[in-house]
Amino acid sequence: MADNNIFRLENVKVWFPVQKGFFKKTVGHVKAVDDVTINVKRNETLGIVGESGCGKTTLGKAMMLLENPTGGDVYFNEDGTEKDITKFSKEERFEFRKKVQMIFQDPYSALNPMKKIYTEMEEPLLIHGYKDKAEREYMMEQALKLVNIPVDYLFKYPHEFSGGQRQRVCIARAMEINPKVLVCDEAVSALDVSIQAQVLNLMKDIQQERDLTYVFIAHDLSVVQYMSDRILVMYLGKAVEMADSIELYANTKHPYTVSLLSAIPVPVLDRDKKRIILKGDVPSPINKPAGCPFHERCDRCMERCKTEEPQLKDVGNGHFVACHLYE
Amino acid sequence: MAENNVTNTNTTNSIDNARKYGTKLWKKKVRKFFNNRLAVFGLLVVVIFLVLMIGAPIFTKWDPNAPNFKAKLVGPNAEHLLGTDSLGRDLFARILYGGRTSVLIAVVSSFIGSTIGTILGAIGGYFEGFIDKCLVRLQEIVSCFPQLILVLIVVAFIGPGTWNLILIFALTGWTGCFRLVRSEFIARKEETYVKVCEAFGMSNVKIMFSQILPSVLTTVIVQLTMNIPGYVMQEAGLSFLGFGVPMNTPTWGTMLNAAKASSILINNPHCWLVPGLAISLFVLAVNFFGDGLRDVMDPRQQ
Ligand SMILES: Nc1ncnc2c1ncn2[C@@H]1O[C@H](COP(=O)(O)OP(=O)(O)OP(=O)(O)O)[C@@H](O)[C@H]1O
Ligand SMILES: [Mg+2]
Repeated sequence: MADNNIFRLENVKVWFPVQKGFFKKTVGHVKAVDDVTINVKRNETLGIVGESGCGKTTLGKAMMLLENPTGGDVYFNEDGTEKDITKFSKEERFEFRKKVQMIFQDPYSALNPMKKIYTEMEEPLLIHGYKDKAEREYMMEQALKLVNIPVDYLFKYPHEFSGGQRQRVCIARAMEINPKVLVCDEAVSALDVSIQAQVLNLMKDIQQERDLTYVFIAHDLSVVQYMSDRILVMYLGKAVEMADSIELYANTKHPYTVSLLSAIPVPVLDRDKKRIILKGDVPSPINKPAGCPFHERCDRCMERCKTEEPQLKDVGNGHFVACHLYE
Repeated sequence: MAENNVTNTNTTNSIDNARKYGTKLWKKKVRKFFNNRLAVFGLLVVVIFLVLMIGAPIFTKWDPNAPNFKAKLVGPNAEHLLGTDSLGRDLFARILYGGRTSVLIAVVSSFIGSTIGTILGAIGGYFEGFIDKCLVRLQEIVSCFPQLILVLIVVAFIGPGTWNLILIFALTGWTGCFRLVRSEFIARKEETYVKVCEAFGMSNVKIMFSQILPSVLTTVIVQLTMNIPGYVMQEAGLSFLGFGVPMNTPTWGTMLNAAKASSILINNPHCWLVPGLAISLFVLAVNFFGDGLRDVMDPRQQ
């Protein structure tokens, strides 16, 4: 079972210090990711959903070693042995970079405005030791073909591209070195709906072709549902529910997920469908409420929820939920 | 295998084709620069100055240091284009030869200062933390320290001289560039494209110098040209006070210094008017050029 996991996160915390005053005293922490224990299976697509600011990007970055976890371990298992990536040496890190890539949220700043696309795409290949120019160009062209960008675009600057084209260039660049895991942070949010569908299908095809594992971050629930095998729901830096995508939609447990799913617009106007509109705002990640992070907005809040924090527990069928209602 | 080769060459062909029609950003920039009249005027004046200075022996037959007691303080005429000074030295020749030293001091100091500032600023801004704190303190000390006192110390111990002046200018002049580059690095290292390079395993040094620096360099180059006029003026000022270049070396500053006797100031205005105008014109031209350069170089203006 453990062998089947390509990533395993154990109690991962990423806290950012909040500094105040002249002497930069640390007065608290933004708990962007707080005590998250999850696994990512080989060749699956794990969708991560949650409100803006709940720590999805930060979690993705922690898996990429772009953010050093404040606590906890991130295990990566690509070749049968599980290794803690937070304890990697410089060489191991470099090898790891070849295998895990990320598509970033903002396609407008993901490309250096001073460089031609050719240089942008060539750099990863140069770093990873492709010495032959013809080989590099062949690989670049293959990668661009994958995302439907003509080679002419190689000699243009990023400002000559639309947001969707930029995002596709970023996808091509990440795919180029044949990573095993791709963390897609809102990879399609910047695209319009028709291209979105196109890129999503493309990503699915590539996954089949290359045995990729996706960590698919989005806040568009229908997109996540379409893409993911399993879905992780986050709230305020915590993992609140994780289950197979079909199971999650059919058998929603956590009140937060229930309200989240009820917000998906449906094409058929179903008058009986109750839409749960959340009261209040997401509490600040600096001063989290005691107990369950969601209790202030939960309509099924119990006395116990205000003091005791629920842990992520298996409720059967590979369905994990962190809620006192299901204990 | 053979098939593979064919695809390979095909690929390179189509990429080579595309390369020919790619965007040539610098062409656009050159065109934009030449549409700016003041900038072109500035460039033209600077080039004329440089040509005259470098080819000084061609443009004047006079020795800038040879006194001629028969022709002291004569006004501009056919023989002496801009007249002569109180020792009968030809002013045109002194402007050209003196300009060499003045401009050399300004350009070299500005260049060294900017280089020091850029490297330290890049290190401080990219790594932050302890090194950065030390560099910022150093920068504060240097920029608070009165330059004139430093000049006096150096003159007192080593004596006045061209290279001493350059040394002082460079050692005190890096702070502006340091602040500029440091703040740019702090802002830009958070850009997603830097994170992307990190994710690809690019080394810190490479990220600093091949990813962030190019976009900062344009501002640095502009800053560098904008500093040049300041140094020309400072050299003139210090030489005028007698702390700069020795009096026997012609520079625009020592020429002004030589013209400071009150009788000359009143009776022979050409003696101070000529170097004064040379300084003003050169400074103005470099400023116009720098302004034009900034307009085209600023990456935010695309
Ligand atoms: N470098 C940082 N320094 C301080 N705080 C940070 C930093 N990066 C993120 N945060 C904070 O961490 C929290 C989670 O941020 P994150 O970017 O992971 O959210 P997200 O779930 O990706 O949101 P979105 O859907 O808007 O992209 C936010 O409150 C954010 O302000
Ligand atoms: Mg995000």
